[in-house]
This record gives sequence, C-alpha cells and structure tokens, in this order.
Amino acid sequence: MDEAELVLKCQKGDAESFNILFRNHFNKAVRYAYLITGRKDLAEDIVQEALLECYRDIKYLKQPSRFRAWFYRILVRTSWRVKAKEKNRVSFEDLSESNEMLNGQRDFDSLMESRESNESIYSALNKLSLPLRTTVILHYYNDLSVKEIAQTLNCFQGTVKSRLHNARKMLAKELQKDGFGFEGKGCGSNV
Amino acid sequence: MEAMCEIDNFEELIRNELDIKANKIDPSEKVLADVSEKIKNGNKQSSKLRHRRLLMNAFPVNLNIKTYIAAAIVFVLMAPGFTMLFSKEARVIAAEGIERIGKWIYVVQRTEDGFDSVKYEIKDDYVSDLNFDYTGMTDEELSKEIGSEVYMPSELWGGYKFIQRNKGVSIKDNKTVDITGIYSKKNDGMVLSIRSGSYAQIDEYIEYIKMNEKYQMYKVKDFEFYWVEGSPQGIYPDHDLQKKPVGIKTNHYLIWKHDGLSYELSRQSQDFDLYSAKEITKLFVNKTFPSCDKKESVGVIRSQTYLPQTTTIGEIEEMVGFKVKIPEKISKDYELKTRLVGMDPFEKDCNMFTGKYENGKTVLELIITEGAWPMQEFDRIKDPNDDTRLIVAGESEYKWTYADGSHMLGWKNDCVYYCIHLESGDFDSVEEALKIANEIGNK
Repeated sequence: MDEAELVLKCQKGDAESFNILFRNHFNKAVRYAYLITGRKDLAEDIVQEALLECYRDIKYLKQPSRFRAWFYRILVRTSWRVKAKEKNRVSFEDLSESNEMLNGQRDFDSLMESRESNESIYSALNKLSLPLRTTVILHYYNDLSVKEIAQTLNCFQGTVKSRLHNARKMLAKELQKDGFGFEGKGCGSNV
Repeated sequence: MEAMCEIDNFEELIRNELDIKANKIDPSEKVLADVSEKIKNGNKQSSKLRHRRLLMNAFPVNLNIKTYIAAAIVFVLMAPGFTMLFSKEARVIAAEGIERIGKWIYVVQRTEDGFDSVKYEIKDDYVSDLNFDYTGMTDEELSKEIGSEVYMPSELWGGYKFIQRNKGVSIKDNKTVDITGIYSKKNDGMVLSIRSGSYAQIDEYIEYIKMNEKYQMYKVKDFEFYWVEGSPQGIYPDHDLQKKPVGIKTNHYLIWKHDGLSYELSRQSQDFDLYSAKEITKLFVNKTFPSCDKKESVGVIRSQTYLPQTTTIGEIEEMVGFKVKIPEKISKDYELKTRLVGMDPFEKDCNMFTGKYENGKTVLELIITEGAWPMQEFDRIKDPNDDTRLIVAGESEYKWTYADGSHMLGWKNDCVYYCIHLESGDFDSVEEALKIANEIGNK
C-alpha cells in the first residue's frame, strides 16, 4: 500500500494505518531531531510531540501525497521550538559526555577518529544557522527533494537551492580550518 | 597539509557523515508505545469530552450545557431560582418554549471544504447529574465546602462586572462540584466556571485539548494558562438551534488549574482574544480585584429568571414587588418576546424587570427597576456625538444619554425607573425614543 492510501485510511481513523505510517517515519524522524538538537532525549520528545500533532491534524491534510513534506513541517517546527527553549539548558547527556572528557576516559584513537571525520562535519554543521542546518539535514540525511524541502519550510525552491549552496560553502570552509581540503564538484564554490 | 584529504564528492561526504552521526543513536521503541498509549487514552477521554465539547460549541454559553438545558426545563416547570444566561439562543428558547429544543439540536463539524451541519442528540445524562441554583455563599465559604481555594473576582479586565453566581451540586453525592460566575457589561458577558472533584478533570481535559484543539499555552508565575480555540460553532438563523446553521464562527476560551480546581472562562457575544486573556490572567494571578462576595437582601429575586409568555402583569408585579407598565406591543411592530426578572446587577438590593421586544430586525430592551437610573454613566472622553441631556416633554422628564455609539432613554414613573435602548444599533432619533417611552408610559 502506498503512503497516500495509508494517509487516507488514517484520515478515516484507522488505528493500524497510523501504526504503520508512524513506524515508517519514526527512526528517520528521531535521527533528524537528534542531528538538530544533538540530544537523544530531546529528539525523542520532539518526535513524540510531532506524531501526536500529526495524529490530531491529519484530517486537515488535503493532499495525502504530500504527507512527507507536511509531517516534516510539523517536525521542523517542533524541533525549532524545543531547540530555542532548550538553548540555555544542559542535559544529562551533555554532562556525562563532558565528565568522560574530564576523566580522560575517551581513548586517543576514538578522539582522533571522531576529529578526523564525523565530528568535524557535525561541529561544522552546528555552526550553521538553524534554517541552513535544517535544510542540509533534510536534504542529505532525510533525502527530501528540493521541492519537498520548499514545501516543508514553506519557501521557494530557489531559496532551498541557495541555502544548500551557501551551507556547502560554509561547511567546506569550516572543514578546511580543520585541515580538510576539497576539490571538484559539490563543494559549493571555489573553496 | 596534515590530515589533508581529497574528496571528489563533497555531498557524498556530508551524506555519509550525517548517517554515521545519526546512527549513533537507537530510537527507543518506547516512544512509539507512548504515542499509541496517549492516543488510546486520548480517544477514551475524547469521546466523552468531545460530546461535551460539541454541545458546548453548539450552545453559546460555552460552559454549562447542563445549566442551559436544566434552565430551559425549569423554565417550563416555572420553578423558581434557576439561571439562564443572556445569549440570543437562550432567549429564543425562553420565548418559544422548551419543546422547541426537543431532544436534538444542530451542531457543526469542520470538514476539509468548510463545515457540515449534523443533528445531534442531547442525552438525558447531560441534563440530570447536577442541580444548579443561585448561591450567595462567599469565596471563603465555598472554599471551605469544596476543600480548595476558590477565587471569583468582583470584576474582570475589560469592565465586566460580576452579577451573580450559581452552584452546581452533584445529585449523586450532594457535593458542590461547579461554581459558575456571570459577568456583564453592555450587551456582552463572560462566564467563569470553577469545577472541582471529578468535574474538574483538568489534566485529562488538557490532554484532550492537546490532541484535538488548537491552543496556546503560557505561564505566569506558577500558573499554566491554555488559550484554546474551540471547535466551530454554528451561526443559526434566528438563533434557533434547530435551524440548520448558515455559517460558522470560532470562539476561544481560557482554562487553567489552581489548587486542584479547574477554571474556565469564556466570552459570550464575541471571540475572546489572546490579549484580553493575558490581561485577565494577570488579575487572577495577582488577585487584583477583591472577591465578589456580597450578601444580597432578603426579598430580592437572586437569579435572573425567564418567565413564560403567559405570565401576567399582576404576576410580574407580585414577583418584583412594584407596579410596572409593560405593553405587549409597541409601534414599529415590536412585540414582547422575552420577560426576565431578577436582581438589579447594579443595585443588588432591588429587583428588576427586563423585557425584550422584537420586530424581526431589531431588539428593543425595556428595563424597569426600583434601583436607580438603569443607565451607566461612563468616564468617557467627550465624543462629538454625545448629546446627553435632560428632556422635558409635557409633565415628564426624560434622561437621554449616549454611550458607546448608541442612546438610552430613561424616565421615572411611580417611583420606578424605566429605560429603553436598542440591543444593537441606535434609535433613528430622540423623537422615536420619546414616542416609544410615551406608549409605555400611557399603557
């Protein structure tokens, strides 16, 4: 059954269809929220809230084929709101991570490993503004097309393209500071 | 350069690295289970609350369908001491009789393209589980009785003055579970309902709202206020709940919890905006106004009571305790449709009669009271249209006053004060108002 049919069934109140629909999007949604907030507990709270909002408002969705963009819109809105609220708070996860650092429990190899690739990208990503970061994550992690992102963020496709272009440029610049070098297509511009 | 690497496809790098970072966590299945559980519980509450909400939405008096129906029934039985609120729909029922409401009404439900009108059955259990009546108890006495702190201010932000309150007592165990306060200002009113015990259900209610309604939550000190957009209400032709609605309107209401009690506040004639909600909120948190406690004199009809159309002038005079002149018909095809007696809200020691005359276009209100001039003097900025003055016509003196874009005409007859005004709009001229006053006076 394709997603639009599933959504139609949900709109008629079919509990099993909700179950399937939520399950289909759950993992990617939590991980999106995790990439935005950097915290698993917050990510799960965000997704829970978004799913409940989705359940409440799905009856108003006019085009079931646009479910993905519509759902991500809820998710993005929720995550931005939570992110803004949690800006000045410190989580237990943050604390345990910094304790590990202080106690010297992370071995040198893992630090090097994270520094060399993943953490560098991620910390560079964190330096982007929230709209840019959201655009990058939706595109590169959640595989939303430019059109879907435009629908999700309620902006023009041109805006999405320029955000992606600017984000790549800034990411490349940040990574260069960390000693990475790039050439070829996809780096945004002449970095 | 150290750690220098060359990557052909930068986009691939971003994609891979985001995947790695994201896969570091395993989303907990418990979240999905919690969502299912909340939906299941929400649905259970929903069907109960949805029913209540639907009825509330159908009735302009957002809060008390029970009061409303019970009131309509008591009206037929002519039992004393019930309260009806001043909505137009209530007036239609009062004028037409309980049989007009029957066992069903039209309610509206939003659809993708607009709204649908559906017939909705009014179940008996919504009529019979509470007894409502006027109460003269103070906040302190009610707090003692309920076991939680009750605060019903004497005034609400926006110039709404407290008129009266009613107590809802559970028929099952005789416990007080609902206190409803009525506030009024010209042609508008607010209703504050405070509920306790199983009638409070505030947490479930908030869950329901989160699942089913659009809302905005804000905090002031320890209070959490929910400004909620109610489901659409019907716009009924002639305010008749059994006529198919011709449109929809949406009203907001405010709910919060304090000391185990639930508070719900709604406005009667218009929508309740967030700004007003926040201003009212402040006075509740800071207890700006004193409690509305005031004992009324014995002999005063404490609740506003609609009377059947068959009530005679003699019966009305017996109820209010003074002579009245109330014609059945007056010029411009005005016909007396509604008769209401009760305590004068501004002179709580006195009784007051209110009659509503309708001609299909406008509603003319006649107020007769022993209290004082039933016309409010406002601290107003001098308006160029304000032609307030004393008029002497023949041997009689009339007070012609202006406020908020319309006029009132008052006069005194046999030590009783009379006042006429139009519910919306204004008299064509002072002469028109004087002519009507003369017809009433010569009755």
